[in-house]
Amino acid sequence: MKKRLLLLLAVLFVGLQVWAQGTIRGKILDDKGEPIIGATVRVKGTTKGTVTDMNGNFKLNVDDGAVLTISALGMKSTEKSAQDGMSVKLASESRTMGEVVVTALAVQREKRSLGYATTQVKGEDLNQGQDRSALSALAGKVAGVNITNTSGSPGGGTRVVIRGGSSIAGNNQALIVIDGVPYDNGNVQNGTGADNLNNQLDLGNRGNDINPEDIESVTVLKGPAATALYGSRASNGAIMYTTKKGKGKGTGKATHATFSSNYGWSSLLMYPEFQNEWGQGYGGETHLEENWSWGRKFDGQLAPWGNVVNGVQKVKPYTALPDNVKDFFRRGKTWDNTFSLGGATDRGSYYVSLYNLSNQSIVENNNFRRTGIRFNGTQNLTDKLSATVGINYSKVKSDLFAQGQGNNSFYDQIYQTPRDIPMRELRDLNDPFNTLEGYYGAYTVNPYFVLENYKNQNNVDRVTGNVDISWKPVKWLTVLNRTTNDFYSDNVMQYQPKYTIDRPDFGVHTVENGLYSQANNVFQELNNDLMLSTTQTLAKDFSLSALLGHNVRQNKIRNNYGETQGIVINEFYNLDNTANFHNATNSLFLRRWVGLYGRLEFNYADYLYLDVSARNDWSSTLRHGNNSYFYPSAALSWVFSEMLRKTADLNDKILSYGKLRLSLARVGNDAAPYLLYSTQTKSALTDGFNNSELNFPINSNPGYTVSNRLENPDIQPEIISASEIGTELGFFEDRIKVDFSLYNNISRKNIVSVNLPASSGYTNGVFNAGKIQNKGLELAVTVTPIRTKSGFKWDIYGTYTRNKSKVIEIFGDVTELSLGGFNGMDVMATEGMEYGVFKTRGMQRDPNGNVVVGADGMPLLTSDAQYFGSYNPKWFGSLGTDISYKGFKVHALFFHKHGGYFYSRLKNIMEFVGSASTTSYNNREDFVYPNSVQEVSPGVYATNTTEVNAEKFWTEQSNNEMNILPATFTKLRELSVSYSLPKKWLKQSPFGSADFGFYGNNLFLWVSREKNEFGQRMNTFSDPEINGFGTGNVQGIEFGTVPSLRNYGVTLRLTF
Amino acid sequence: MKRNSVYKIIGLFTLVVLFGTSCKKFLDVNEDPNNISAENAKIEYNLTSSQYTIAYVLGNKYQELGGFLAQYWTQLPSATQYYDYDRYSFDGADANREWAQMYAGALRDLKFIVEKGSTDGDSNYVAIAKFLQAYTYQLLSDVHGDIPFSEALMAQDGNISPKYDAQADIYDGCVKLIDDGMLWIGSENARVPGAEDVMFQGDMSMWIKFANTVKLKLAIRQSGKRPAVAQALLSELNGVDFIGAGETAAVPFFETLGNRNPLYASILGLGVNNNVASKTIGDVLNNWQDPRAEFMFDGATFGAAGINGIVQGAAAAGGFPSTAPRTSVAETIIGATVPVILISGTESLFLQAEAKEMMAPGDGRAAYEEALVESMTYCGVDTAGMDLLLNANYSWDSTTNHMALIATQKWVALCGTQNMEAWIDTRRTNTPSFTPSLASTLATGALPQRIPYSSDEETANSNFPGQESLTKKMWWADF
Repeated sequence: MKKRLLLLLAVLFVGLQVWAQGTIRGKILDDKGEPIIGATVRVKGTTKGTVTDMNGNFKLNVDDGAVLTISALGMKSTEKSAQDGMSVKLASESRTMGEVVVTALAVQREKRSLGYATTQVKGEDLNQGQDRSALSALAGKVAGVNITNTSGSPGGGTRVVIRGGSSIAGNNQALIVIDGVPYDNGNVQNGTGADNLNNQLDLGNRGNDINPEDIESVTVLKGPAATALYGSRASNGAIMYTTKKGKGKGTGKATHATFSSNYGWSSLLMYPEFQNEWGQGYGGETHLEENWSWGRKFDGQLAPWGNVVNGVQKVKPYTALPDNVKDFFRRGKTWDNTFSLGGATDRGSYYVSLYNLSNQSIVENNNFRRTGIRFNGTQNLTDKLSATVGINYSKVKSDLFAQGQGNNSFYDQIYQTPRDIPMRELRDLNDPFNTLEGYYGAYTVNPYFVLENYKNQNNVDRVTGNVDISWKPVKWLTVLNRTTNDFYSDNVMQYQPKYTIDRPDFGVHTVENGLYSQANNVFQELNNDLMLSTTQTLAKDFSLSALLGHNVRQNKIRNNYGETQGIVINEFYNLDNTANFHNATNSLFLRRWVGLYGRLEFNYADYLYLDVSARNDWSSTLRHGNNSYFYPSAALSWVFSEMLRKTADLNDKILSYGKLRLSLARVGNDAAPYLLYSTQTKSALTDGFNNSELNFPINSNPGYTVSNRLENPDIQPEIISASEIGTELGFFEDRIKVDFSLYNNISRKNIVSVNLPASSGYTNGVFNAGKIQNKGLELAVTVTPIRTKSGFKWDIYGTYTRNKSKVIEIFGDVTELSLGGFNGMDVMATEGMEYGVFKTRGMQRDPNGNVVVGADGMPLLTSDAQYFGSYNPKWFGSLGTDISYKGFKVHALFFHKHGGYFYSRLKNIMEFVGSASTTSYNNREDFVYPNSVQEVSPGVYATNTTEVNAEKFWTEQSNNEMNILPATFTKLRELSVSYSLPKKWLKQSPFGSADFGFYGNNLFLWVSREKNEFGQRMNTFSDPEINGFGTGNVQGIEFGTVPSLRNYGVTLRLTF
Repeated sequence: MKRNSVYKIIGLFTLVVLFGTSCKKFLDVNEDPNNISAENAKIEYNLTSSQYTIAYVLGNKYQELGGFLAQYWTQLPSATQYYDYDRYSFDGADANREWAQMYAGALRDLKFIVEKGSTDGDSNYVAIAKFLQAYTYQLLSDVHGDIPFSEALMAQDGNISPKYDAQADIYDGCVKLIDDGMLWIGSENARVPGAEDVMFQGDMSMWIKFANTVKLKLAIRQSGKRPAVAQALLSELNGVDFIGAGETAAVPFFETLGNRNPLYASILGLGVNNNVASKTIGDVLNNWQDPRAEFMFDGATFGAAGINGIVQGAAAAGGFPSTAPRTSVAETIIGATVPVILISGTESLFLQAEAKEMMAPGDGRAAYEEALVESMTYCGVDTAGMDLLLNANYSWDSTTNHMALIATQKWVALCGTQNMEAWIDTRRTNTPSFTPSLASTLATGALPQRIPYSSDEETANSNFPGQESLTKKMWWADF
């Protein structure tokens, strides 16, 4: 360790020289008069030189009469004679050349020097569709980034996976960093977890707390090479947000104010297709207590419906109500305002923003609110010392509806409503026909009662911030200390009333004891980075930048959960309001790391760059001896267009920019805390049904049991290796730009929790075992077919991403691992297969692939579970266009995911109750399963002619294979039209600028039209993207999940 | 700034680095504050946990399975929850939860008690743990057949794929566990469990009776297959005490939510009692006007002839009217505070009757009659009712086939209180001879003889022997 340190220090000193001549000062500006950071100022014919600071200033010792060569990225180089107080304006060159991006540790670097893939999106481009999730807004804008929105609830989850992810069972989502502050993206749950189908909430993920309006730009770092300095935490890539800073230095105007406002509406993006021919009942007969639509054909005659209440029964025409489900929903509304102030002087800058978003969801009593305040400030304390401070407070308050199949999920119920039940008439809960016992359904609860009485609340208070102190003790050395903090409390409250329903005529006696629960989660992460950096010119055309850093990090999560099982006074929600015990748990997870890292960047003639970096981490979660891990990376960038320009006579009218990238990297990752030692846990027994839990202590006797997880003191860090090759090209003065990458990531010694046979004494154990590979390609192309002097500009751009994952190894004889799912349907990591395959019992088939049916004509199920494809798309891509002329701007973005599958519980349940259009197959007459065979003797199959009763088929087939649907879809992700009022019109007004427009996101959805054996379109049910299991590795399961939304509205933006 | 200062900066940095990295203490925060460490664990807690875990499995899933397979209970016609039980359509996934609760829960904890108890000199705990191990292994084996035994629970020693032992070896092993356990009792200084022993509150004489009764059960169960072994065991048991009249090895449950009888809690969760009387037991109780019927089933739902028994599996077979008259299972059987019985006095007396009859035909009478009286007493039947049955309907002299009489009456007596034990024993005695469920998916006339192994075991254990045919008889029934 010490040796390594000395080596790094030695490198730092290389080329160290001290000058002693007269000093001149100067400033380098771009063609707009903004200072250029990092411009190179060199004394012609010598190796002497410097770079400009944050304000574009430089100081240099020169001899009299010296000539300076001034160059900066994206700017045409120039030569000027040295003069104190000189100010040089550089003309701009290719846009691509000068791009500066944010890299790991929030270090700004010239994009062309990077040997790995990065993509930068400007805040204004990010927000064109007014998607109120700064994560989801990236969809379709960056190749290689797979974004999935888990549900349509406001504040719902967004999963972001770059290049397929590196872990079999662990986190696969990208790291989020805001202004250097690692920003937790947790997916907090209520006390019972995401996979509890009886009590499921989509509480979203904390990455969505960011206010999109605060974002100046976002850079996506795609691979381990790009993020190596962050170490293990960024093994899945990183999304680096940079928030707005005060601007306008030198304009003489101290303060700039901006007000932006959106008002939008939401509606359901996709309804399932219903049948409208048969009504309530079963067996072709009417049964007024049923939620089945297997009754009589509609005849339009007046008929009774619902319960007899006080001797009265209602009548209505017996006809289908095609919109009865639609009637349940209302139009959602979102209003979102940001007001910001900012300014800058020579001494510093500041930016303050206030933000509020309030949303009324598409169902009653469900609202979402997000409020935020941000302050960013920079102050030059002396000419050597400056400080940057960023503080952000955000608050999320939401009332959510549950999903899944629990009593608290109305969503599961409304699709099961018979086709002739007038939903709106169930609304008035005081109507004796709508009370718990007056309600028509004997086996279901009025969904409006659920909406009114079951509540779920989420409150998040979050403070993040950073303090950066930058000190330049000597001009060639910068010392930066950055302290960051991310702290939030995330509380989830659940309220469930107590009630009894007696319907003795149907044998129903339901007792709900009521529940109040409170999950208080506190998260804190502290980071301190101390970095030394320098840039040295070693020889003509050869310079070196070096960075040496030290990191201390602590992560602490505290979860407190309390629950009353059964409340005494109804609708009084307090943990004390129980006759029984309080189910209370608390836990603490504390982890610490220490890291040491360094990077050397060699620059030859501004066209050949080599980056070498290394990091060593020490982690608290591994045993001494195993807890130190080292990982290096290297990246090469060759801007061959620049070389050709310098060495040959490149015609840059044709090839304006060309660069080749090559990188190799390795990162290590530690384990979760507390896996090394054996423990005993409080016993908890359940048979899987609600209320079946046996809770200790029982009669004051505590029960503890040897943990079901086998301890493993020898866990080692996991290792991820990545290689990447890519190119960036610009043609015809950047009218065509191409960015292409190929990558191959292999993650080894994955820390995997493997299922053990319970007969070994444990049900699982954590081992270094798994191996997973992700290979893929990314392509982004921008074409500008028209760019006129009059200001008309037309851009077309697109991205294409293809990732192929392969699980190479799980553990010894264990060849598969369930990532989760529900009973009878697992999402698996299986050796030799793509990651995330569905596994369930399917239909038996003969060697020709025909379905084998039994003597009753029903498909026979295989005895073992089979695999049915992965939730991951084969490829995904986007196509967008921007047209601008004077103040007008039109933007459209289509997004397409191709291949992959999802499980639809909606199909399952709607076919079971007979409300799905698919159940009108063959006019509900007996049918022969299409192309089916019967096994007449072992291995001998004959064409099947046995008909099956339609109702029996749809209500008794228990075959999940039929519910796995193709997930291919295309969305019109964004469409916006905006207009900027001409400046001259505003001269008399207080406004500097005024923009207004219309926007929409998720406006249209086209799903796969693939047909099944019945000749029916398979997906007539839901948006394939939604997922009931949160943002973890279990994806592609729609299970009574909140549907996705179409959003559209108007926007206004004023500056003062 | 001079070079001096530069050195200072470098020095400072080095200091920070060295401080951060050399400070081992800073990183020493990996001790789990959320659970008890193995060193601080107390065997008292594991004893309570293991007893409740056994009771949870036995009194919930096994009670339900046994209820259907011993043809006491069948599916309520207006619902579908237990169709698979009446269809004999079991798959391995059904067994996962209970298999894990027994092995990774109860048996793992009992092993911990044996290990820590031996080290700490808690010999009474060791004895109790060994007795419960014998009980549990026999139970699991009687449900599934060959199971991991000799190599079970050894993951800590590196064996994560235990082999499956033959049922005969498991039976021998269980006998040895009981004999071993007996040797641990008697040390004067050893402490005795208190309230944490929820079965006997540390009454070691009851534990000795429990162990003897388990050994008796092991002997009787294999008496057809290995008569000599059984005889030898019975002679070892000559003169010892068994669980007797008025005694039960049971785990109590309480009214408090979360402390309720697991079957009650589970059914309550669904809001509907899906269990109704099967015609098989209903007819027997009706024919003999057995007064225990009102303890076992809900008298309020009786018809003119008594229990409205539904033919086993009629609802699951389809086409059965959902409104047909039915009789529910009584709250005395599925109630919040109903204890889960591991061994009852009744069962023990029937075992003794069979043992005595086996040793010397005719000798079983006294124990048989005591068993009947014990069963009636447990069901709250008054003396008049008892006399009626003992002297007429169920009398020793009513038949010459006393073994069949014992078997039949044991089956009747265990209804609702020890369903799983009843199903296990009817597979040995074939008495009564059941007509398969109407909804059976097995070959005509076939009855299930076992429950498939946990499918988790199938995927995770490389020494898994494969699923057996559902109709393959247990080793002890195969003669």
